[in-house]
Amino acid sequence: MVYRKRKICRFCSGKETDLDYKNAELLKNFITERGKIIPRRISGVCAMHQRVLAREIKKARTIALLPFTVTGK
Amino acid sequence: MKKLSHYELTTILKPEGGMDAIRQFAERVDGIIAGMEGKIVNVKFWGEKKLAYEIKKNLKGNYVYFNFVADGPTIHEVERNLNIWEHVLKFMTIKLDNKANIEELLKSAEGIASLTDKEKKNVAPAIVEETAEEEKKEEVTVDNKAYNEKLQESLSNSEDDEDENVEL
Repeated sequence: MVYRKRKICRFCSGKETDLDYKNAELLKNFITERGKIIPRRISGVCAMHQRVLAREIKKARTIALLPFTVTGK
Repeated sequence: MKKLSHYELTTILKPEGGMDAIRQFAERVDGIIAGMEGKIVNVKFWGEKKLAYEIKKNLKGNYVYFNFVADGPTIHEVERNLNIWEHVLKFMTIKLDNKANIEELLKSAEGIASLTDKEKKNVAPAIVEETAEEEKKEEVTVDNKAYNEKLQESLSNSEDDEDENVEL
């Protein structure tokens, strides 16, 4: 069995305080190359912050700061 | 007495006309808000940004951000006008949840005087961003190579390495 250390939520640790749709550079860390929101089991974000994060990502998508999808074209 | 709330409005304009067009646009929005007893706290120009997706055949847009205090019908009127103006590509109004601070905000309100030309400052970060993206792509390809090597190693090794496969 491989036991891995539990990831700590980046937002709970107090280092990242500016969780906002205007801060698209930060939100980019939580979407895949295809533009999908990364699940919290991968990113280690806590449930509360994942809800906020998802909401802010969706706002940023509305105003074209983040993509809805990234296709090959 | 009108019930005032704190709002923020982000608008995307067509990347034409330069700073004069942006100033003119801000004045028009201010005219509507001020005409309905609202007050603009500050206005920011985020610069010409690349859009994440195409809007009305435009790949770039000028972002103008308004932070203001107003009541519900004002929002309706502002949005009605934004829909009419052709140089507005898209907009989003968000109600901010801080009812207690409204009087303070009204006191500290700067109005459209806070609009400054930030385009020059924004040019440098944009270039940095592009190079950073290129670097990321390179890293990904390197990672893939390393991954493949590891995979082959683990495949060629004996039974004991099953745990390693799981980890990969």
